[in-house]
Amino acid sequence: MSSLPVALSIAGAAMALAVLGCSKKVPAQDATCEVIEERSQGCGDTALRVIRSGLMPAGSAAASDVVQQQARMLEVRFREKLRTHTTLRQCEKFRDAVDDSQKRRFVTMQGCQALEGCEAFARCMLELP
Amino acid sequence: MNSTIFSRNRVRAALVACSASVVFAVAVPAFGAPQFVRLSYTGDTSSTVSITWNTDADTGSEVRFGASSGSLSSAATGTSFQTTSGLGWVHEVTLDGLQSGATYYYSAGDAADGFSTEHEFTTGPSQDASCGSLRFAFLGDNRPDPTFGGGENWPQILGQSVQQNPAFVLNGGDLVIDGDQIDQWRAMLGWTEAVASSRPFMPAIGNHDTGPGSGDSANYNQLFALPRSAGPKGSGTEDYYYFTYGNAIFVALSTEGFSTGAIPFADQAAWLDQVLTDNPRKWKIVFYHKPTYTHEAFFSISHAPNEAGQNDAFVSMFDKHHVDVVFTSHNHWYERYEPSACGTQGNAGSTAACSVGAGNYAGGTVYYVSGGAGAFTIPAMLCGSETGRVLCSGDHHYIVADIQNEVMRLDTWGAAPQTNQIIDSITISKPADVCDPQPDAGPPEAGPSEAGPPDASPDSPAPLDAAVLPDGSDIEDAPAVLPDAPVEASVAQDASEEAGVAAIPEASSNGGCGCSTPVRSASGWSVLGIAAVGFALRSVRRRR
Repeated sequence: MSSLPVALSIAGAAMALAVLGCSKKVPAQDATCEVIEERSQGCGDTALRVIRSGLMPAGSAAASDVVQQQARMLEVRFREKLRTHTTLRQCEKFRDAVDDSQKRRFVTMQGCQALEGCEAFARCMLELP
Repeated sequence: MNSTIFSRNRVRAALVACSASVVFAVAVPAFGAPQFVRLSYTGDTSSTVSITWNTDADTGSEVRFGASSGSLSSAATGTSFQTTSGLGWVHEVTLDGLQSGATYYYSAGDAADGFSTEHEFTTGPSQDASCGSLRFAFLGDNRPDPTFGGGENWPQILGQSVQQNPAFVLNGGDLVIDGDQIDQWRAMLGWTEAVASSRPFMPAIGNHDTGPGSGDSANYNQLFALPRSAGPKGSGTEDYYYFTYGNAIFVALSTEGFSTGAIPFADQAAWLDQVLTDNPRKWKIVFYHKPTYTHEAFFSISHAPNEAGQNDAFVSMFDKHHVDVVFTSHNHWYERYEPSACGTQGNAGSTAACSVGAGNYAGGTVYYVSGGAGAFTIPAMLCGSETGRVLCSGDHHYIVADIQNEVMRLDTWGAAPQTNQIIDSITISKPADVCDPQPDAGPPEAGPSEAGPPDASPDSPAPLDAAVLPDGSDIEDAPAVLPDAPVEASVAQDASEEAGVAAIPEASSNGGCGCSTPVRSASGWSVLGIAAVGFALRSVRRRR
């Protein structure tokens, strides 16, 4: 039957989409908090890797115990934030803020969402160059 | 003869065990023996001091004290009560009628169960609203992390801070992870005793410090003897309070609940208004836990500014009275903002600072976030950017403020386990006051500044060592400083700081101010400076 390869192809494509979900992007002005939250979830591992690489740059001497502990603590904290959908709440708070400085942060989040790829999105969200 | 029951060595041994296992329990000394001896202010800082300690049994509350070590010829008694959460009995004795600027020695306990080892303290200067000198330290968020520990950072950092010889220590809260858990308080008090037994320890309540219940039932309130906020807008609790010390007033506010329902910030602000009106001082310092302004990193890795919604009420009052400095904690890093006056600009509730200009200290309040006294810090790479912020650092740290009449210098020290170097420094100057001449002013009286930290080892950095060593490069080289930071930091640093100790007499010069307070004269500073240089040279030789 030819339906099996087709099914596999569809499943593969779905998996690829799921894996690459982090790289989905939409025009900045259309990015809703739900979309930004979904992207944050999809790009969570990349964001963690970016944080870790910032704390312990490749090629640097072995990180001190303090830095290693700090990295582990941040990972626990970060995963907890993802698990509890903190980004969604934070985004909604910025979106609905009266304060201009807070509103600007929502626009920044939308700008991050418009970037291609998880690495760029994560760096933008973490406000890293 | 007083018996030494709970020696520091035993505390240290307990701490080593704690840090190895990340268990928040400290060995319990003999039943009835005084534990966790600590000082605080509950009255006039020039003539009173409160001594608090715990025992596991219902014993007497007596302090023997005197002006000479080993000759504790006076005695005072106080009160005790049984804690509701299982930390035995709390004993409080307030010594009053003391001489200002004088050093006393004391031992706490009772005749039947024994006394603590001998400690010492120095009373504050006379209450002169304009003239005076003092040095104090601010630290916050020393709590361990529930998963990764880190509590052992606190005694190290606190120990480093007292090498700068502060007269007392302020803490911005989050002393423990969970205020309900008495073992955590036991550990915290054990870690703090070596310092708090000789320098008053004045905390502000943090969100982790609350419980069980609120007000007098909470462990925080039971364990610390603090002033109570009185008057029509006071809470009647120790959750917010003030004390004056020479020419400065210190106000601890609360961003946590001390009663059911919403936190009545308007009441606190009204109380603050009254307190600052009734107690005019040249320097006004306010501290509380949750930041007025801070960077809320995306993914909410750090806390938001104005998290408790306090800004509208608080900031308008800070601007009305021109509070000089506000210290907060909560976010585990360091931030300093340019002088800000959102209230004056009609936006007191703003979550972003309203800069009035980098060096315009007369026009606004300097806001600090200082949450690096032990808890694991948030790395500087997540500092982001904030309008009006001068500096952000992920280092553990502490702040030491030195007031000499109309000049206040605030040094921020990167602390253990990373370093012990100045990472930020500002000097705020005000118009000089003419003070009453004091023709026969003798040499400055010995105070805690001269006494040195109780546990300072000969090899530890001398208080002014770092003042000799740091130059601009220290600040620029600080790893966690944002690229834009050194510009203002170096602006803030005046020439005297580059010159180190030799310049301090200039800052401390009172222009002929013969204050009645035990102000260090310029010559006193010179002697201290020469001594420090000598000590530094000796230390260098020893290291070699």
